[in-house]
Amino acid sequence: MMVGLLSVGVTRSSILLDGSLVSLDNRSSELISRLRILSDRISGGAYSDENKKNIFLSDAAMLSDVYDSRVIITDRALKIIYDSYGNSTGRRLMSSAALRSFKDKAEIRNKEKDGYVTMAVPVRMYDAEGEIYCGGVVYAMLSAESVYKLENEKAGRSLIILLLFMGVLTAVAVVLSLLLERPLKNVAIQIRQAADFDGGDVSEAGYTETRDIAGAFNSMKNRMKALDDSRQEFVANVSHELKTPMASIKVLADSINMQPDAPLEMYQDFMQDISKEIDREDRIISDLLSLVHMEKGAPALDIKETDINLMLEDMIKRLGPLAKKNDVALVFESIRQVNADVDEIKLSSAFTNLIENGIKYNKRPGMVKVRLDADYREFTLVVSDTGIGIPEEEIRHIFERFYRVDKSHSREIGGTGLGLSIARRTIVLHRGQINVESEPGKGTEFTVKIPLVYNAEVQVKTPKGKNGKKKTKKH
Amino acid sequence: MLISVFVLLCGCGSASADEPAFMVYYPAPGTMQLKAEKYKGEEYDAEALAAALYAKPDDASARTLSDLGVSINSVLSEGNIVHVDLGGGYRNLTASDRLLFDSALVRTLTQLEDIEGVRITVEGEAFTDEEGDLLPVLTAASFLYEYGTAADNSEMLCLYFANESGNALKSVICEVPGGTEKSREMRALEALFKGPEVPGYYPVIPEGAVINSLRISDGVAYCDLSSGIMSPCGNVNAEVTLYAIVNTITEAGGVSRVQILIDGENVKLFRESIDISGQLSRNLNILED
Repeated sequence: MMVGLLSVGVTRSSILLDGSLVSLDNRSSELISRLRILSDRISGGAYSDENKKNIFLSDAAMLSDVYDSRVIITDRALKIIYDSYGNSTGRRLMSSAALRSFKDKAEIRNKEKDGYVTMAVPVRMYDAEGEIYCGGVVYAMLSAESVYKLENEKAGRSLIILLLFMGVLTAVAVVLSLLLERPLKNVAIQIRQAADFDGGDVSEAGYTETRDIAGAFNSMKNRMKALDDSRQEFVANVSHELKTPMASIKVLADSINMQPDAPLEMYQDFMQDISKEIDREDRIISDLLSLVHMEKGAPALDIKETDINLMLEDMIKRLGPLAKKNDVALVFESIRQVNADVDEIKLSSAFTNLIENGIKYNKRPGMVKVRLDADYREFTLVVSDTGIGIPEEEIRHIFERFYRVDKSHSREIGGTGLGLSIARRTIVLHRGQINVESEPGKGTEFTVKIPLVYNAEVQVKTPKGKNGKKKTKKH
Repeated sequence: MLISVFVLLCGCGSASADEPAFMVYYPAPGTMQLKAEKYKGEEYDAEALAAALYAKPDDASARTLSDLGVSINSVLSEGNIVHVDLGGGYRNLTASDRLLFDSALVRTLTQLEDIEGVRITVEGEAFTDEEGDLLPVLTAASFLYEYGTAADNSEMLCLYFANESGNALKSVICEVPGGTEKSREMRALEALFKGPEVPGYYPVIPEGAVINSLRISDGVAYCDLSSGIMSPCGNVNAEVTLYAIVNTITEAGGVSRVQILIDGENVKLFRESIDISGQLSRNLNILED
């Protein structure tokens, strides 16, 4: 509003400043051209007969009236023959404008002085020899005051308009602010009240903008709620997972204590079981720690050029016994030789996890196929199984920590529930991506792509990779 | 040192009251104006002043009369006229230069208290101008000075004020200064509005009344006054105020009828008593006897 007012005010002043001078200038230009016409009529014989003279004189009188200026016409001797003020006939006009005009036989127009603009036009006559002589002068004295009065009126009027405009703008501004105040205040109050995540949504349907604000706030609140929920869930899960092995250990210890006459073999059996549980707990804790560590920042990857084929072959050899135990055939298909810059230890544990899952969640008999291919930019690893598959609504959750599709059999299947999250995190750190497709009852296929060359400059901060290769989750 | 410029019949008008010194007026053909300089002589008669016009002026743009190629043969005061006989060079002057010459001479000489006019002859003969008109006896009134150039472009105007009882008019002749910018009628009316400056004469115009405009057309003066004129002025009759205005305007010489307007409107009654819807003429019956 301020800007608008300022520009209007400046425009008005500049128009008005010029206005007076231009107006006066225009007025005097018009007048002198009228004087010229009078002068030409005199040269043309306006005084030659009585009729013409009367017409001429009444025109001169009208001119004087219209322009509010004294008009004087002189003869060759500079005696006044016509004066619109009527009373100086016979006197000689002592005006420098008139005298100069007469002497130079030229039009003279002076600048405004003391509130008047004087001007004179010579009456050009031709004598018997055809020589020009000055037959007199047509003189006028224009009052600047009437022009300025007009300009002042204009100034006054435009000032009134400006003030009106200001008034209207102020009114509009006040009305607008009043209109907006209530809904905005309302939204603010509701936002403050919604400090509790479980509260209802904020709503203020008054204006689009307030709806937007409310909507944005609500979605943020819901995200925070979801985050908070998942945090609680995570803590619950962690506690549960950590407690489970402890519970088993307790059961084993209690039961052996309750049998005072247990033979040594029994003690040895039980101790072995306890040891296994302790190992399990240890693994869970390590996995948790490494996951937290990976999520904190970008941990130092030990990037070295690695023979991927060799890495996979080793992996498959190691997993052989497990596969056999589960009656699952393990097939390795390598299309070409692949060398890439990777952290061998971390990546092999990620791949191992994928293959292990393929083996564990499989039918009897079943198959897991590991296929390695590459192009000039990245290598692709596909781990597909003929397993039990993952239902559609669960697929998007499988990379979450501790998530198990089949919750009831988690103990028998083993593992920590963190494997896929860790695997995914590792792949992301390598600037790669991992996708999954599955059909319940038929099988699951994991596809991993990793660039051959590791680009150290690009920062990876969060699981939803900000820069560089964005990890996309296909569901 | 003589001070007065004109013989004043009354002390009114605001012509500059003290002119501390005599001036000598030189023509300045360059600027087509008169240049005034202080008279340095000690004699105050026509011959001395005329001679001063031949002394070299201080202002470089001013010219002496001899610079214009005119010599003075003789200067003779007779009553209130000065007879000046000029050399033949006068005939060679252009009309514009002659005007400058004449006005310089006349203005300088008529400063003398008892001199009212100047008669010019050329080599003893009367002078005829380009139009074939004889040059008359020149007085200060023979020249119309442009506004802003001369203080003594004043005119003697007849103004009408009220008597003590406010029921009749009294006329007085005053000197009213001014130049080409205002008509005599306007100057007379303004002097009337200003009020009398002589004892025994009383104002007729109420306070706060102003002249909006005064236009002359075809012998009729259209006089537009502000509505303040409708209020009474002291004990002055409505008739007295009204005809003070009408008489003063018509007395200025150019018009015989006056149309009064109030703030641009043609109003029926002046102070609810006099019909002013039509044009008014001079009323001499209302003068004090």
